[in-house]
Amino acid sequence: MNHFTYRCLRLFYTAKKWLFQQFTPTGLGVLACLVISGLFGLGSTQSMSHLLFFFAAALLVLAGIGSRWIHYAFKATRSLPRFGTVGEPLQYQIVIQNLTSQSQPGLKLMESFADSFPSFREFLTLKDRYLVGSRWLRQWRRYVAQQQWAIAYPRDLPVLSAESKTKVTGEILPLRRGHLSLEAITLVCPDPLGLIYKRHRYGLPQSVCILPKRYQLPPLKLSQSRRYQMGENPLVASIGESLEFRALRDYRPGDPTNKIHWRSWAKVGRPIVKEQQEDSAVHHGLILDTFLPDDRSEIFEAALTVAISFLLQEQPEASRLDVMFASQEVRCVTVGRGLRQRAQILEALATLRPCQTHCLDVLTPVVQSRLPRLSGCFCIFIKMDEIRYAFLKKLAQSGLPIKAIFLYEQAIRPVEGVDYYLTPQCRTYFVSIDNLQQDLLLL
Amino acid sequence: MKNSTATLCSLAIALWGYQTGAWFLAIPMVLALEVRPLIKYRWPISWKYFKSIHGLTGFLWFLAIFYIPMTSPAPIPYAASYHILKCLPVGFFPLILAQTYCRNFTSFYSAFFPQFYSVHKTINLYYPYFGVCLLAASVTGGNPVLFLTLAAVLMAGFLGTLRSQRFSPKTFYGLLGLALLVTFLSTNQFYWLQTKVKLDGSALVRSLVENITALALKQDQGNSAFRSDVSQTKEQRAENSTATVPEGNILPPQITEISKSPGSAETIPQPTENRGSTENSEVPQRSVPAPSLPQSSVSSASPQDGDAPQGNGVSQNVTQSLQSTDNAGSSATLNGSYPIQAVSNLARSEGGVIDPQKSLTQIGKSGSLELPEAVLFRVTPNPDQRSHKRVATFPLYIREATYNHYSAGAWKAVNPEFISQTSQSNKRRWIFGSQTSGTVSVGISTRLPNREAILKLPVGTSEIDHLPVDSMRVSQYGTVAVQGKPEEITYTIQFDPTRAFESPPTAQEMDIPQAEQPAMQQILNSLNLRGKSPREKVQRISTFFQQGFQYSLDLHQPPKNTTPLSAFLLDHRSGHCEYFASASSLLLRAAGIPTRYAVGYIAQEYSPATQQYIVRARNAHAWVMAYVDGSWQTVETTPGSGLQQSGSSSTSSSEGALPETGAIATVMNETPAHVKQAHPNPLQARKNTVKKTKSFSEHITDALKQIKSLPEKVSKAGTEISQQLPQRLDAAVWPGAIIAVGLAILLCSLFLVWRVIHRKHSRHSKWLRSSGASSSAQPVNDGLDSEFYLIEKRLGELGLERQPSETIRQWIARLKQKLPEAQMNHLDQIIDLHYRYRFDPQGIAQDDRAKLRSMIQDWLGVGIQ
Repeated sequence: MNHFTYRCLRLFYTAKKWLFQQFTPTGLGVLACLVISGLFGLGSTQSMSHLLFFFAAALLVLAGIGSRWIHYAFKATRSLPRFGTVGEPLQYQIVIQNLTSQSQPGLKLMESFADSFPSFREFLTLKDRYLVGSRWLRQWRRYVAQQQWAIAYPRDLPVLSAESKTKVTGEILPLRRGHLSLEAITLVCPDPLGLIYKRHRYGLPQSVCILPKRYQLPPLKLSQSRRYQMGENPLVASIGESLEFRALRDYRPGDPTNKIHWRSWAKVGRPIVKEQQEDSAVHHGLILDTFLPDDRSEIFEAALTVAISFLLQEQPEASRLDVMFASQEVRCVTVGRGLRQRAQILEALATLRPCQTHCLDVLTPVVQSRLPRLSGCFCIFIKMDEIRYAFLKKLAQSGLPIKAIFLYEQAIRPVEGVDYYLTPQCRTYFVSIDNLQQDLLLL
Repeated sequence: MKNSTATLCSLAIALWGYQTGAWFLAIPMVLALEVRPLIKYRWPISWKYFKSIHGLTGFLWFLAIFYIPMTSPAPIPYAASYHILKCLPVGFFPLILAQTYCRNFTSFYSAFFPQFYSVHKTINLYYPYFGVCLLAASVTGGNPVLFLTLAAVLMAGFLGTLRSQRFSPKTFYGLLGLALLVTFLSTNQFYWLQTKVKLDGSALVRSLVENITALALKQDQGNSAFRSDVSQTKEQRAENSTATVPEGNILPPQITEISKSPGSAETIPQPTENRGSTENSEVPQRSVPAPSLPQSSVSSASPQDGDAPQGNGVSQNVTQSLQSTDNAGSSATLNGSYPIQAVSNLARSEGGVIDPQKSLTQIGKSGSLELPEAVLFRVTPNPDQRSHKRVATFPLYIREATYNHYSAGAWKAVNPEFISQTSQSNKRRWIFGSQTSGTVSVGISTRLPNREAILKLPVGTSEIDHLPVDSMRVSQYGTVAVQGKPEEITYTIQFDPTRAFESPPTAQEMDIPQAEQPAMQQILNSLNLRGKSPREKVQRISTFFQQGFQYSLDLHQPPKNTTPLSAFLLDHRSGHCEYFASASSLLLRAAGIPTRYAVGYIAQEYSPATQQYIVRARNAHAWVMAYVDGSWQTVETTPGSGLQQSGSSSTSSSEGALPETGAIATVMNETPAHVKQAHPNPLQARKNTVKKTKSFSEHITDALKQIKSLPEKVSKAGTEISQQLPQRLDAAVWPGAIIAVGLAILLCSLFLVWRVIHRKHSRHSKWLRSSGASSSAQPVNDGLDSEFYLIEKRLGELGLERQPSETIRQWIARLKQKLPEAQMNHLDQIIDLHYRYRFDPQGIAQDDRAKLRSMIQDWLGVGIQ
């Protein structure tokens, strides 16, 4: 039965998609007119509805035939930026080459995305969670809408000159974070009656990383004290107040291999290593709580949004930032001025899924190993429970200046009696995901 | 564009006003839209007002449903769904006004349709409103050509504002013209299919929608549409109350006495109590009580029954029993105050139980009749006579009741006197008269719907056998009422179609209502019947109806100051069997021939599988019994093409039916074609037209029955199409059909040609793409089986191996100094062929491949000197 229901829903989704792809809005109106007039008019010839039915049918048939006589061929290339942001139109260049010997007016450009219809497993999960029929259907519709990757704006193209290239600007509106796959470029042309589209699809698979929506964060005012940083950052122009590169010297057994200066080795024929000055810098940590049993949650999305907003926002007081989180495994990535890992960490966070197999404790070793270097720490928790509170307490006991936010949904109020100052330097905030921007500005 | 679309909406509203006759609404609406250039100010609107406008929309629609007249200039049958659709433009008009005169009104819809809004950036309500107006205008009657033309012009304007500039206006308008032509042709064919084949698939869906909307509009129906029925009921009640009740008790004449046919003078023994003196002169039934009937059911004459013509015990029995089976869906008012009307309604719902006292016809009503397919009973020809008599007997007229007084669309049996009949053997055999040489035997399998029922019998029934009923009563008009256990029964009937056992005519059988007399006289004058014999008169009148009239299930409302029958005879000249039977009955009376009005069925649908005739509800019929040459004869005046045309699949034939009845028999041969199609009994017809008393469960039951019978209908429709198509092509429509078929063939051919070209083109472009875009995408094994690699191997063994960075040509060029010149020439040719075999996307021909192989073998065979 579940399989049958899923098939029906899928069929309905496909039919709806097909209708919107094949018919113009006017064509859909004529189709609706055909159905209604057929319903009311074919049973009896007493009313005029049957005339409307036959007229609408004739228009659609002729439009269908007319659309078959439209010919055009093209090639296209697309130049996508590396990142886009949810809710902000993403513009990019498309070069279309008309392969026919006639100029082609009246064409429209559309983008095709990968199919986003939920899988049968997701269907079952959702059905198990919402047992009540009406509630389940509402949730299902909402879920399907959330799964949609982006909205493609149809673009009216200028006249494509014969056998020449035309540069146009494409525009899509991303709706979900992650890797947005653009499958193909489709040029459509309405038939002479303007009811049915003639479609020509050109496969052009590419993808773009879509970041979550960002919010403005105030300066966090974590500790500005400098901490000793071990010389582990090669080829950095400037960290803290020191020039970290001091000299080259011969290799000594025990030197780490990443200190080898390959160019000098090639020049002199023996191993040479770089000698760097140990420095001190303002080094902050970002601990992101990703431990959630659900596959998808608004609160998890909000946590990611806050983390990425924090990452992308210039933190003038900090020169380095350790991002600690867990997906399938625990990860710690250092980003900062002069480091080239910011794009990778953004991409990693944009595609991050909740960690369903571990709990927050798996982060403890990583955090403890980084503690000596950190001047301050910013923690984002997605739930207020004992494990997280204990984790925060342990962190606070290290004496590190900490700002921790606990995200909560409007329906679930934070636990009363929480100590907002675990230590004088550890401050706890509760941020509602429904008033995210307002609450974040209070940090 | 926005302005032109708004103007198009105004035009669509005007069309709607023209079609529905609601000019008093359409003109202000158009004016309100068209003054928009004069009113420059646009009002700001808040979310609160946005919601209020939508509330107003619903309210206005609700009001319109109640206050817009249900009738339109060209009346069509009432349907709740039609009326709801018709009122939509009024309901949605506030939205259009708000879009026209308010700022950013449609931007509020972005919250409801975010995706659509984000893609199209705007929501324009003029477009859907235009479609709503067209749909609302279409659910009315009127001139179809005019409507289609106007709708096409509006659509041209509408689509013209949105059409792509890629195509010339000539192409656009040419396609629109072609669409109009296709519409005319397809509509023509649709009409033909509608008249020839009755497939109720779409009607089934529509009826479901109507049922639901009818339920929603129950109150509305009660206020307006149903009002006509109530008023009519009151009229009937008044008629009943003023009907002349005969003074004293007139004993029914003996059946043996009314038959003037030779050999029919046998006296049927009657129980003495039936002949008894009148104990109560006002209630004749009490003087002839049926012993087997409960006293309460026989003699009960409640005060409310006093309105009904008295002397009808069986009628009252049926009435009471039916009243007892009444359900909650029936109107309490009808049950309480108007018993006769209630009986009629219930009789309809029982499918076959009729009121022997009165038949309310559909004459004078508007609408159209629908045609139930339910099987009511089956007729089995006598096994001994199946081979030859069946041909002569069928189609068989099976009567239920006969009436003799017409007034305002209703037929009544004046003073029906039901007398009890005695059975011959254990209440299973009932004899009415003597059997003659012309006696035919048939069996009827049916179900007694109630304890009291009216029996279905052929005209001239002389004996009924195997009928297990408790009692039987027969009226002087030939109506037979029985009382027994409601169950499936199969009884055998002996009958002589040339004889009838009813009472001779009285003054009632010559009575013509005052209002109908001018029309009758006018027709009679045109027929010139003076000096003609009764048989010739019947013949002429029958011919008159056959030639100048058309059978139709559409009901026409007569003009003012004209009776429906006069309008039928002098004006529209189309109608169903009730019109024909009633008009011809009165016309024959005007010509001096006594007549009665009979209702029943025609058995003509033969099922070879069961060797029975199936009688459906749609086989119900009304006809005339005329008193000609001293006996009652069946006269059929409803026009039709006869069974010999339509019933080829059936083994029945009307040819030779009742040959001995002479001229009248000839008339009888003209079995109306509508009977074979779908045709309701006067009672059944009313059942389908007046749907308001049906409960929802009954609607659902009807719909399920229709679904069940759908396969049968489809197969039947297929048979009918195969039978009718050749005849139809021979008829006058063949040009249209040939044009349509030709057009279809032309379009199909064009489509096929296009497909072939397109496929070739797409295959070629696909190959071009694959070859041009990425040669590396070719399969790597192509050409790797070339024998040239044997040469390379041989040369390698000789220390002349090819360097990895060398191409073959470079390698061979390097070897030129080391190899004989003759071999080098061969090698050049071999390399050419090898390269082609290896890299030419089209490959090489088989001959070249063989040549390459042989050359390499030769080269290897010669070896290196």
